[in-house]
Amino acid sequence: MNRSYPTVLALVLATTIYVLTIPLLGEIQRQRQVEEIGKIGEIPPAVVRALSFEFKGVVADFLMLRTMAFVGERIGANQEFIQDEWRYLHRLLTKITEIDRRFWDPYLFAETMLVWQAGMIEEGNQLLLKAAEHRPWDYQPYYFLGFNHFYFKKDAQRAAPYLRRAARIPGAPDYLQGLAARFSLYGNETAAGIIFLEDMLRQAANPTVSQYLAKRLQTLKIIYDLERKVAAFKIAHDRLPQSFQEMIVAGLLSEVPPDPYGGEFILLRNGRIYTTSELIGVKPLDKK
Amino acid sequence: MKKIIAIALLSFQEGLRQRVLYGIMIFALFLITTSVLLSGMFMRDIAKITIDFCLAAISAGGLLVPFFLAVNLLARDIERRTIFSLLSRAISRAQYVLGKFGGLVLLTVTIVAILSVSAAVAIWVSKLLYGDYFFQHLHIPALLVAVSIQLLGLLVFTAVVVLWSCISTSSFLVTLLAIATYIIGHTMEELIRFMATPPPGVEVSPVVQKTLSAALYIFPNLAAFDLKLAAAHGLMPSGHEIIFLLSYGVGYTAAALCLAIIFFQRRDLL
Repeated sequence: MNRSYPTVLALVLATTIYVLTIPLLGEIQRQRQVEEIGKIGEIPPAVVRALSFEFKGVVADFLMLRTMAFVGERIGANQEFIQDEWRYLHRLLTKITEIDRRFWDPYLFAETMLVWQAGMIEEGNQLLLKAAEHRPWDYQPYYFLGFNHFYFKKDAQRAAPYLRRAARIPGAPDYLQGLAARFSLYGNETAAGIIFLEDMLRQAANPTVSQYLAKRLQTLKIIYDLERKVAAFKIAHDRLPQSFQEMIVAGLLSEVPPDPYGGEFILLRNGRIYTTSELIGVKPLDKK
Repeated sequence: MKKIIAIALLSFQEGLRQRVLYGIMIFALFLITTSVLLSGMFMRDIAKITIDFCLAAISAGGLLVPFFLAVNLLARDIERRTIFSLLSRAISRAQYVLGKFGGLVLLTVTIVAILSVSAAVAIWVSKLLYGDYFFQHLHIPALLVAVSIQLLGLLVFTAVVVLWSCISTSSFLVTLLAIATYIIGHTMEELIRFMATPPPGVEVSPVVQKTLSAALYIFPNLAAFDLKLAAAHGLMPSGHEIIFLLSYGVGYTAAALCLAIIFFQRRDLL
């Protein structure tokens, strides 16, 4: 008998065991993720900075990658976040921006997820103020702050100075000059949301984030289109339509379009459009 | 001077013989692939991510010299008894230490140069793959300054490890001292900042304060040479800052080498 047979046999056995455990390990790590993200968030920023030695940039990148993987996996599996998880994410994003205060991705991620998805407007705005302080060359923090005040807080007066500051920064797109005025002129948050999401989509390189933004943009465009048709109905009949059926009879609509999020569009009495999906359950968090 | 150069070249060749450069080449290839692939997973700051990884890899590669070669600097020569044949050829102990340090400098410069070229390739490939839009803030002079200052920081650290290896013949002890120097050098600044404005309720004892202040003058402030984050965001340090860092780096290295020579001259090699 060849002397190497037992070794080869042991190798095959050992390889089979470890290969079989790989999917299980992945599952265990997934379960650990929430707990770990919570724990990383609890470490004081000064300690994380000190322990990163000269690799602060890379540490911030890895933490960001972990955050995105965690959120991306949830979005992919269509799982909702619980309030504690949103708070963990907020703490983690705050930590990442403490390690590298100029790193734009965590701020952008906070705007995309915390503000739009979790309704954590105040938390998002605080992070954006930090971004504005550490990225003086970038118009986006002020632009986002202006947008958040206009769209989410319905405060056009506070939004305007932020938009003006954004427009003054070299490299800001020309359309920002009149954006504050345009937002007020529209008096319609849906149109403002479309402009904003289109801008964010142009910047997104990550496919998961792009898909997420594109879906939201598509839904807002449908809502905007429905609202325009409601306005057209009002002009033609001097009153608001009572239902979509009335608009179909009037020839303004062939059918009620489906909500990309799987919900159902409802025509409110004031002529605004509501969707039962709430664009994946967008509900502001209870502040404890 | 000729003798110092001869020893430096000899040490450099010895380093090459240890196949350090092969390892560095593999590391460089790994660096290009990883940084290009990883940066694509991010949302917006693709250039920053690529540069972060590249500059971190240059640092990690450069650290191989003080951690793996400098710690064995004298121990290996004493073990192989090559030190006696060198010192018996009318080479002073000062020339020997300076020559050894020169060899390590040559090795560090070679490693940093190879990794910098790989980093340039990684950045170029990333730019080609993801487009110019994400590389608007790429600032080549800032990157070059960051790498040069990083190299200076590595040389300061190497000089301190040379000093430790002239004090102790135990490679293990030298490694421990090198690790301690690295940790202190990179955290000192944060600790001093923390001490200056401690959070409410935290009281820093005067003994700790004095110890830290003393450490500031004894250990090299390696964190000061870390301009990677600023370079990744396309920010150039001021001329004043560069001159200050150069003076600090050169001054500290010279002082550490002088001390190393003094200790080595008084050491009993038998």
